[in-house]
Amino acid sequence: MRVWQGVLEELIRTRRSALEGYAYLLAGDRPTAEDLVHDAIIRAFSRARRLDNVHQAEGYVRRAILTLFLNSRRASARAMAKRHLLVDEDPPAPGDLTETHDAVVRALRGLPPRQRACVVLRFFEDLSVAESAARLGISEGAVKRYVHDAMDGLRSVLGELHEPDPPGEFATVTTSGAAS
Amino acid sequence: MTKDLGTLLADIAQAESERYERHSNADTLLYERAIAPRRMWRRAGEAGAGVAMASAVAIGAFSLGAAGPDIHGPAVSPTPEPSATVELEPWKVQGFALDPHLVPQGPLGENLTGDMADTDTSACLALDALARFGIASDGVRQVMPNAVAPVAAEHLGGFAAEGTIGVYSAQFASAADAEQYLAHVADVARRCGEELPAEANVAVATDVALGTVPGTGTRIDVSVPSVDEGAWRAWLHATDAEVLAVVTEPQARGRASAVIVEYLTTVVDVSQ
Repeated sequence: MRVWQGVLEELIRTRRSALEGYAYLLAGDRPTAEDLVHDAIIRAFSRARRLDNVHQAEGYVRRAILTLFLNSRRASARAMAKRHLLVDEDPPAPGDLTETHDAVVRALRGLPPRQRACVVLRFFEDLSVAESAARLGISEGAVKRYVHDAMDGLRSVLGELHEPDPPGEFATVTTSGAAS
Repeated sequence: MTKDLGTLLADIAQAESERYERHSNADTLLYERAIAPRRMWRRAGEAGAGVAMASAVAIGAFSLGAAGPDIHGPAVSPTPEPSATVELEPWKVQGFALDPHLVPQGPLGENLTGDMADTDTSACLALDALARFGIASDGVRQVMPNAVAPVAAEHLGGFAAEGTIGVYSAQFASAADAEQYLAHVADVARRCGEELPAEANVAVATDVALGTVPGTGTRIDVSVPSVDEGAWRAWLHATDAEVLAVVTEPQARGRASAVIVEYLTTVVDVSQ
């Protein structure tokens, strides 16, 4: 067994599910998330990079997930534009996501892809503005603008958003009574 | 209930992760079968041609990957695994280095809002997807359900010039399929032009040759004054069964041909 094969096996055994969670935040639905992770693993491991530990490999796969997600954003935008035509927008299975979780996922899914990516990078991956900008290949100002617009979008769906902690970071959200 | 947004996102991801864990049945072997030939050809390409960009070699890998070689036999590794640790210089065009994560915007900008909100842009969205070989996207399936699909395709990366330039490659089953795909793109581009408001313009040029490299291409320019100044450009250049697509945001439109020429002369040495 080659080194990369061992890393691949460990990644799938120990980190695949976590990658699904990450992709789910970006994609907003399970089939797309699973496709993203699948394609990202193949992409990351296909490149001639040194892959000698699972943490490094996971980093590559996460980047590939983000790239693939943004790459397919036009389809997402189109799906988003048609969402009002749906009678029922993917109701959660009983005992699945909590109502609050579902409300947040729906709110995220309503954001344009780059805004969603910025929210995930800033508040889930805990990247700084500069790090997020580097990851996305855009300016720091653009990241700030996307996050600002994203928080406005989340407020419109989830209701009140508390002032951030620390100020200016927009990191806290109130979701009580938001899932209607 | 009030929670920090980061905590909420972490909770959601964790719940999804646990759900997947309960239902997953991951088969590593399937991944290995997809990955091994690509790695093999990438390394072989590095050693044989001395190319400067790892991504490009994957194009050659796709055709073999589709043929389904025995990836577990000794013949699949012409060079030892440590050769994969070589750090390659990024590919540069006109001084701009390829960034594997850069993706340009589509012909209608980021959002379907503003002046475009009431416009049926399904063909334009399909055009954007086709230009990036996103054949499986909902938009393409609806607009052109029988479009010929590549055997494999890859986003090679992008350049941060005056605007973002995206580079995509695809391997088709035959030169005829590649040619048919370019015809699809031209057809959808014309339909995109019919959907857009009168002030917009879609220019389609077919059989576009570049003097110094073999093959011909299809060039699409989409100008939507309410979205951006200048024209979004998609240039798909076919060389036999391989198609290179360069998608540029308006400000970088003039660099598309240079990317194609550099790719075919520097990265994939077509003279060999």
